[in-house]
Amino acid sequence: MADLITHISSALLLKAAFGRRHTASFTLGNVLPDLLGRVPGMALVKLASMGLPVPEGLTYAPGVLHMPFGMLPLSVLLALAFPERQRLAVAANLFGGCMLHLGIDLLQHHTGTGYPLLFPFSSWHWELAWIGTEATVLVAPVLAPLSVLAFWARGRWDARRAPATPP
Amino acid sequence: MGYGDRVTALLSSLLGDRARPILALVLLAWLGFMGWHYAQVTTTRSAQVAECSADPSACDSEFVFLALVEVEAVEPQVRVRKSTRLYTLTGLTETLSPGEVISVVAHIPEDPAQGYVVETLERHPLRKWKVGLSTLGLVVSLGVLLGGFRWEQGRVVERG
Repeated sequence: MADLITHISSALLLKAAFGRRHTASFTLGNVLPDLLGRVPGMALVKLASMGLPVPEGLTYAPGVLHMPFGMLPLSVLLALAFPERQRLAVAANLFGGCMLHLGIDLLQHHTGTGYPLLFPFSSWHWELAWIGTEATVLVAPVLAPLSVLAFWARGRWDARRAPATPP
Repeated sequence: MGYGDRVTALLSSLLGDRARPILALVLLAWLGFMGWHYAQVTTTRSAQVAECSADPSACDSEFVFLALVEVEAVEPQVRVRKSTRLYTLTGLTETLSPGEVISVVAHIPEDPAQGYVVETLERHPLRKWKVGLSTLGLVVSLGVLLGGFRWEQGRVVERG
């Protein structure tokens, strides 16, 4: 996983480029794989290191939410909490955010492993291995303000192009 | 009605209020199955690796990969944590300190008491910064949740 600031920045940049609608859903989808797929496992490992009897499988199980065949049902499941008219757009944006997250993570190199992209249908692992696992730490301080600026500029541009409302 | 519109209409009806309870149950069951299956696969694999260190003749590989593991102790032997298991390392480990995050390619030794012999060691000195940025990201995510959505008549509604 890349750091969450880089993930959020990439989501904002994409929304700045292609339109700001459903930014909240897209950004939330972008952090979900780490929020629900990594953080619980890390917390359980921490508890295990403190001597608590944590079943090993339980530390790995949330990891399925960081896989495409876990991300899609999760996105649809969360979208079901929204009103019917918003559901499809929210599900699409949540899943789009998840896929952008995975796309950024796939750039990384992990020793002897990769991301199980087709689980549970295959145990095949893959990643591009173009950057180190901490490479984004150096990118994030530049990318974060740049993405906020681009997102703000897109909002201004959209507002200028919107038809004026009569008094 | 174009093809795209028909697909959108079909998906919208699948996500409609009538199908909602059944769909939610199916999705939860699928995620539960995936989590259970993944837990089985990963624990079986790590048990095999642990067995290997006790009986090297049973191994199907000469090497183990331990990616992003934390050094728990360096005395009397270097021990790293992967999930709930601890692995003993020897070899290129002299300069390691507790709390450090490393990735290793290690050789399975003839003598089980020796621990895995590290052949390739990758340090992750920026790991703490990454954890810090991710913690900040968690706070921002909370802001997105609170600012981007609101609760209205028993449903979550996206603002804007």
